[in-house]
Amino acid sequence: MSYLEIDNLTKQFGATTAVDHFNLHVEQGEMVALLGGSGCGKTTILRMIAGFLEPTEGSIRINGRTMNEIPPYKRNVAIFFQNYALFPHLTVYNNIAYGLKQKKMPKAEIQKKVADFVHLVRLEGLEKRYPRELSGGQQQRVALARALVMEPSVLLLDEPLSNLDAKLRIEMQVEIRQLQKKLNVTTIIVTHDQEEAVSLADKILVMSEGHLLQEGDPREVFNYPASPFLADFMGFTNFIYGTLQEVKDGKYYISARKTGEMLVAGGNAPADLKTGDSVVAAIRPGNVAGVSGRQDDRKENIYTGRVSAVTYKGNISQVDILEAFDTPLHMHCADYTGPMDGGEVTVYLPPEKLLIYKA
Amino acid sequence: MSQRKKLSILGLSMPASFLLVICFVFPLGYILVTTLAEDGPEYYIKFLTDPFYLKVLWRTVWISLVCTGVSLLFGYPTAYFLARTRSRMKNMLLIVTIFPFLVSAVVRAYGWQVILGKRGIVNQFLMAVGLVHKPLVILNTWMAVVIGMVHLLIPYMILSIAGVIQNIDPNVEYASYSLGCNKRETFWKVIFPLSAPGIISGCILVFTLSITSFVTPQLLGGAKFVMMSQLVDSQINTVFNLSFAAAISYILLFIILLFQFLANWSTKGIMNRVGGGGKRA
Ligand SMILES: Nc1ncnc2c1ncn2[C@@H]1O[C@H](COP(=O)(O)OP(=O)(O)OP(=O)(O)O)[C@@H](O)[C@H]1O
Ligand SMILES: [Mg+2]
Repeated sequence: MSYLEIDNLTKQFGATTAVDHFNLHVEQGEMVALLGGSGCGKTTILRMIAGFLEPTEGSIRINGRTMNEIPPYKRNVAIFFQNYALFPHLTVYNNIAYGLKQKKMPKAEIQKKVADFVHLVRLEGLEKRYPRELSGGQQQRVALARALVMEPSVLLLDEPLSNLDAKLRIEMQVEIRQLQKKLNVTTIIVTHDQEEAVSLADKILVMSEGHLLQEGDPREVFNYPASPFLADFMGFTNFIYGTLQEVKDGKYYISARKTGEMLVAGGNAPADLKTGDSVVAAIRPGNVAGVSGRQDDRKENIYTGRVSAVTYKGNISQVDILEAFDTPLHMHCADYTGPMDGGEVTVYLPPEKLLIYKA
Repeated sequence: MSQRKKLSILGLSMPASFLLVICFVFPLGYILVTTLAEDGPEYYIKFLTDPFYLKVLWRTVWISLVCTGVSLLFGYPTAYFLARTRSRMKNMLLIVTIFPFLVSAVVRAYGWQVILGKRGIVNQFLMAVGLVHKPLVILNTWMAVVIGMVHLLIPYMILSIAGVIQNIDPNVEYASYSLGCNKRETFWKVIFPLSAPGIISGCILVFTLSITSFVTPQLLGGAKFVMMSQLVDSQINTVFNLSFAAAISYILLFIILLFQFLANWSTKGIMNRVGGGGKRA
């Protein structure tokens, strides 16, 4: 039995099904990331766990207790809202103490606990401020402290880091993870960002249109997405279509559509693949390597194309390459020094980085 | 606020300010100066020392306070419902709320005369179900005035409060639930304080409109139930004592400003915190 068990959870709003027979089991102290595009039902799931919305179907159990009939104020589920939802008329101190006061905890104990959490989220000196007198990042930390101070049985975080700048974001990721580990609180975090999910969570779930698509270890989901759709979501933006010619020594030989170029792929592939099947191979732009001159003696998977655009993206450059295959190829390089628009470029696709799916 | 922003706000408020000065401040000042020059403070002293006039003043104030209280009591739940309903009827309900504005106060007062009279619907009903044996006297008492006035003014209260509640983030309510407060506790700890700006402006509006009302007390309060505006009217149209009318008007104006000041001063703390809706991205 898991600590949090969600079975067949379904929510319909009129004719639209926002969540469709969703299952999730989370162990005590585990942190699970819920990943998916906009409108796929992530917030709706959290709202049902917190008790703000009634499921159309399905059950939610926490520590063996069925929650469906229990009102939100008796669930001990803390939720962090995307827009923080701090109480504007209360000071930082009173925002954090709100739930403790409701519990009728002795005043001295409240003071001590609030002080502990103020320290934990590094808000010392701001206790007497009102939310409107805080920066976005500070408000976020108040919201986090307000939720954590309750020592909830389940913590729900709805895109807690989406409004922060890159630096604060990384800092807060580390902070959230440390706090969550320290307090050993069962946590579900919703995010749009796959890298954030991978770096934070013990387990990742990817959703689309209310369904669960893939569930697993972050590395596994990140490196071996279960379908081309998931691969795209996980940042495999290059798709090469073709026909499987031969399987030899764990290597898959594919002739690319239209160009007929031979492609060797060694990443994982569906077990029931037969020669002659239409397949699609996916690779991350970061794994496409530029090849300069003749110094390279690799014979496989070397292709030549024409550069159509080079986009500088801060720490990397994205090079868009046409004519290597019938679909454009994207390459990410740390410092690109090759030919610019219209020039010819040679690339290498490492076979072990190419994942194969049925097309 | 920067100097520039101040200037641009000043600029934007110019047309309205201009109108107010021409049509309101200037005539008021003119009346004050001319009447004081003619009669000195004589009529102010007369008003403030005569028990009859003081009684009218007191009656006007308490009737207005009662109207404000009753409007708040009945208006708040309606406003909350209006602000938070997801019903497709919402716009319909808003229109229904504003609908009374389409009928003039005079017509409505006559309507209430029919309803509240000795043989009106209310008395007929009460007698039919056996609650009373002889008709209640409602018309020409303070009750009729309060009923008529609340009916007239409650939309101001509802709209002021609904506007503010509508801007309270629903997630703040949910946050309160998840921190252990039930609906009632959440209301008193979160919704009520956050709707303070709406309550204050609604109360100021209703109070000001009640204390200056003329038609409703005239038609529903009867001859013995005189309020300040009626005093002013009789001084102008029957006694032809314009100076006394001016003095009464000024005393009324002073009372209104005093109450507004008190309302603003006593709620300054909460307004500073939630006045801007408390949102900051
Ligand atoms: N109260 C509601 N009434 C009707 N439809 C709703 C309601 N709440 C959500 N939906 C619909 O349910 C679907 C899922 O919404 P949800 O808010 O859970 O998405 P999400 O995954 O959190 O998206 P995002 O990443 O943009 O926050 C959407 O199609 C949305 O339009
Ligand atoms: Mg959402």
